[in-house]
Amino acid sequence: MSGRAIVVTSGKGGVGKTTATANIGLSLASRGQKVVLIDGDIGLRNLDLILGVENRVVYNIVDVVSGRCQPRQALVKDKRISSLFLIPASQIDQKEAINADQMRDLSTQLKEEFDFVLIDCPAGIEQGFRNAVAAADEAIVVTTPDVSPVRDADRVIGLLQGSLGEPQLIINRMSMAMVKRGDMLDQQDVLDILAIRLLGIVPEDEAVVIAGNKGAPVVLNGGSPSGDAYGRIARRILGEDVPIPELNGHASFAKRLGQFIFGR
Amino acid sequence: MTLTERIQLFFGKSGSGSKDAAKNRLLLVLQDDRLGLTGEKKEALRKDILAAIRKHLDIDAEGFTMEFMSSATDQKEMRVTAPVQLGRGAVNLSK
Repeated sequence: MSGRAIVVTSGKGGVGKTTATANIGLSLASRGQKVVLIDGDIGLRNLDLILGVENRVVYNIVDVVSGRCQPRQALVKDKRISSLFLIPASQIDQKEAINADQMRDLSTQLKEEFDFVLIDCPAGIEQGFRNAVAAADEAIVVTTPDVSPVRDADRVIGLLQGSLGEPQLIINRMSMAMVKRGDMLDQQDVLDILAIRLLGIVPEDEAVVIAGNKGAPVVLNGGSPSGDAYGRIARRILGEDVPIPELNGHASFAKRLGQFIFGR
Repeated sequence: MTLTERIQLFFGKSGSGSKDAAKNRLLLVLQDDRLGLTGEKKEALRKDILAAIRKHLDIDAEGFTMEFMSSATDQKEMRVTAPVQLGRGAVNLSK
């Protein structure tokens, strides 16, 4: 079999790539898919921490490509969902420790065994980015509705179009209160600017911080707005037609009437 | 919530609306990014256009500026405006 290799990228750092990778991976795995996550951020390893498996890391991706261990030995198995695995980044090596060909080979090998290979791309557009993209067949671009991440996302989309074709977009950390006030770009604004397909919108959610603290991504605890959003994103990746809830801030007439009368 | 705020919310308006500034600024900067239109290129273009106009018209070279504007609705459209100040000769001729 040949799985799908998807890179999660953004250009700008800090917009939620690693969180998105962890949650989409867990969500796909909980739907019966065999998933391997690759932490592509060599030197700044974090996906293990977000997943809460940092204590079980033995080998890393640099060990694999340099032949110090077999890919199988580097796989960290998730204890909560048995079809999810992680290949951690190395914390001590430089980005140049791996090249694009090695990443591509590893991904090809993993696709034989897994339904999904999700690659968490480092920030920036240098070697680490090129490596992560080389390993992928498809791309997801994550942005927040702020000026600098959107600008950087546009740059990355331009670079991806040359190699992987049209990426899909996740708008992360959308604050409904700010959208309603007209103080945050809404989904239509971002789509007007970036002009690519929307994969999903993840609302701003304190649960993400708590999840990070605990090493237990939000999709593991049902009921959080961000966890539900990642669940819908995973279903869309699997080809399900799941509508994107209107998060554009235009309250309905009834809602506005309620606000007018009751003041909230 | 004050009554004014309630009324604004009822009509679908509130807040400072700073997102419009964000959108307009992004569209402008992205147009330059996508076209690779650097400050240097803009300056070269300005000089060339100025020289081209001056070949045919007597205009004032001082303060000749060009403004590049993106369209909020059509990303394939760009407007370049360059108001020209007529030179002394041209103004005298028209008298």
